[in-house]
Amino acid sequence: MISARAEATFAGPGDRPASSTESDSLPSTALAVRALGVRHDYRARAGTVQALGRVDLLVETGELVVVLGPSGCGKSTLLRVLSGLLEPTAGLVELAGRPPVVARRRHSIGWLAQDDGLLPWRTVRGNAALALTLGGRRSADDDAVMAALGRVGLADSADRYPHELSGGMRQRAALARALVAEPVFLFLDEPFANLDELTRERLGDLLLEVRLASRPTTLLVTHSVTEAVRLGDRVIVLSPRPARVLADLAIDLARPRRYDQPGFGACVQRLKSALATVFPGEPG
Amino acid sequence: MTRFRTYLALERWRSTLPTVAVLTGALLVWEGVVRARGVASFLLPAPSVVAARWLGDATFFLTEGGVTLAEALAGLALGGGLALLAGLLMAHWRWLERALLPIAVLAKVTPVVIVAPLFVLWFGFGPLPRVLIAALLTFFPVLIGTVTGLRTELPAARDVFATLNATPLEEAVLLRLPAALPHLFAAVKVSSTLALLGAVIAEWVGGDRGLGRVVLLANANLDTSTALAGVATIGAMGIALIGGLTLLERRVLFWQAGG
Repeated sequence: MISARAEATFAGPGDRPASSTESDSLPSTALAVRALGVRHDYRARAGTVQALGRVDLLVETGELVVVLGPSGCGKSTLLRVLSGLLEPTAGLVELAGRPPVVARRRHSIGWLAQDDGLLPWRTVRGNAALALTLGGRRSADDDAVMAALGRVGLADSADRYPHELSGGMRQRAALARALVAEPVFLFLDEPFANLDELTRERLGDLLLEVRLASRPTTLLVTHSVTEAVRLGDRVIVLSPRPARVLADLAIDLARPRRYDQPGFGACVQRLKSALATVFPGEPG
Repeated sequence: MTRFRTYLALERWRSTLPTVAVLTGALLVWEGVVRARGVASFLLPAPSVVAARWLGDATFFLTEGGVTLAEALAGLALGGGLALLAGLLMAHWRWLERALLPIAVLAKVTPVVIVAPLFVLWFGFGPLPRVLIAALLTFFPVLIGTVTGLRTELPAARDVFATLNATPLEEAVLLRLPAALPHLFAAVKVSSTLALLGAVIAEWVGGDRGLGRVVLLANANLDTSTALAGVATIGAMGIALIGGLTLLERRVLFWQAGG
């Protein structure tokens, strides 16, 4: 197991020692995601804002790492930097040992955000097929598209338009689009935040289910502690802006996870306590 | 389903009812006042007289209207097409927008009644100056619609395109152009009536055909019923243009209805 450098750690099951020397010496090819000393500044009206301040993060191939923190702490920025949508101001970002742009060129990134980004003038099938046709690729393999839609339970809605779907179905369509090209990396930015709790849980389960086939390395950003514990192999807690890795907790609970299984509540409580130390007044 | 359709038809009728009622009322009052006061027909003919004039010579009004409509549509196609092209270039290169927009504004604020005689002087008495005037009036709204539409921010979809390594051309054709369509349709609707207006004004200034010419001549001859029949034809064509474009818009932008 590889650990991210943590600013603060706490005792408990699944805790790992904070160490930077250990991670630095690892061969980068063994890792899916390698981010070292990542800083990101952006210009605002008030001047330069530091969104990320020296974030170190190492993710193993096939791992599902949840990035946790309240809104505005820079976790979305971190995901954008990792996926290559943003250039880091300083630091190193590698996906499978290469810069993110290489992963993008190889179509190995699946992306899903809170706003599904579905094109309203395309059918569900047409939206999902985008992942196979964009970037100079011309093989709109309908079988692959239908297989992806089948995996998210939308095969019957392939010819419907986004405005004819519920919020949950739209997110499922967007998930199909993210999965159809069999990505090596899956970056999810609060993908279920707009949904009601029940739909949100179902989609969480669906995410775990669809990951089983090819096990893409997954980074999931959320502000929900229970969602983090339910889904993650590991949870990274970010500090307030400029974000640093505040805590790094492995969730060694059996799957499928239930709220009432032993250890679930303890994990939730630990994460909430970690958040409470830096976000007083923020309900976890 | 049938009941639902009946309900929809009834609703549609109900929504047009106020317009029909006001229009009918106005026409009745007009008719009544003209008859009661015995107003001279060269000053203000009764609606029934105007209607009789139109029906008595329907082919004439339709033919001349057709000329005007053809000029307007040609102008709309020309001006709109050029504006679309310019808008595409301006949305892509900001410096081009800074260079061209002031010129476009200048063309827009120059009163068409001043430009129209110059166009006739330069391009003769044929249909060309009329089409060009219509195109001139069409250009600006479509240009603004195109530039605004192409700058529509779709951050979520853009992120998806970026992570899928989409080329700039793919982003333009598959994302930006379709997203610009609502703005473009709004602009073309505005422009369609402007194109009609441009064609009429151009005919007024110097032309041998068209409803503008008909109305001008009728005015000069104190043939007010013909002038009003011409005006009514222009109005009907404007409404038909907008109506047709709205139908087309609903077809093309079906995804906007529920979104």
